[in-house]
Amino acid sequence: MKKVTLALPMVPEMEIEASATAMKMAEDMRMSPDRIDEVRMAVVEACINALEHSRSSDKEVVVTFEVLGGQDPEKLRITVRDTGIGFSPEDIEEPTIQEKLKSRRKRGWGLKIIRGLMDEVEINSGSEGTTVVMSKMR
Amino acid sequence: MKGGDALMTESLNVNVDRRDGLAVVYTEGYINNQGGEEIAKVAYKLIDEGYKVLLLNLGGTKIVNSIGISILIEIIE
Repeated sequence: MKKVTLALPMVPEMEIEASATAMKMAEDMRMSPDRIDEVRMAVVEACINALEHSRSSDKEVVVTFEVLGGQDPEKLRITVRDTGIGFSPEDIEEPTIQEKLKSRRKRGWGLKIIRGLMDEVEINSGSEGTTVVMSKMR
Repeated sequence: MKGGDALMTESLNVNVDRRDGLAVVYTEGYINNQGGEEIAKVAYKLIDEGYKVLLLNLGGTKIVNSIGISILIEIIE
């Protein structure tokens, strides 16, 4: 297993660093370019959620990238962890383009994008923070 | 570039090509909150100038985040 961990300070555009690391690891495991782009976008969204909304007490977001499988890597697993205030994923209404076009608030696509682009997504959130674990098969 | 101008943020470069009754907005770089607002500023200025047709060419943009997408939807509206 190959593993990389980044500790991102809560400053603008740190998600790009995580995206670049995801791209490098996905390229190393010979993921297709389209799937790499999907991973990059999901990582960006997960990091933005943590960086902008978590109010993480230690002022950083930790992102871990793991290539799973033997000599022929099968899966890229990415974990985004903050120590913020947490949230209830089930309370987040799933957006639709029809509703968003009518609404003044156009934002709120992050979780839908993550779930749509990754093969597996698990969100654990509570008063001690949030952990998003998401995986993409090669 | 005919009638062109450029606007650059930390991570996004926006160029405009003004043609007869049509403006093409080219982006290069990351479209996030700040980048999306810059595109919106350029788009609304073009609309104020009387352009009724705007083409957004994202060929130079490799990554867009959801906030950037939201702002692009606002511009389309």
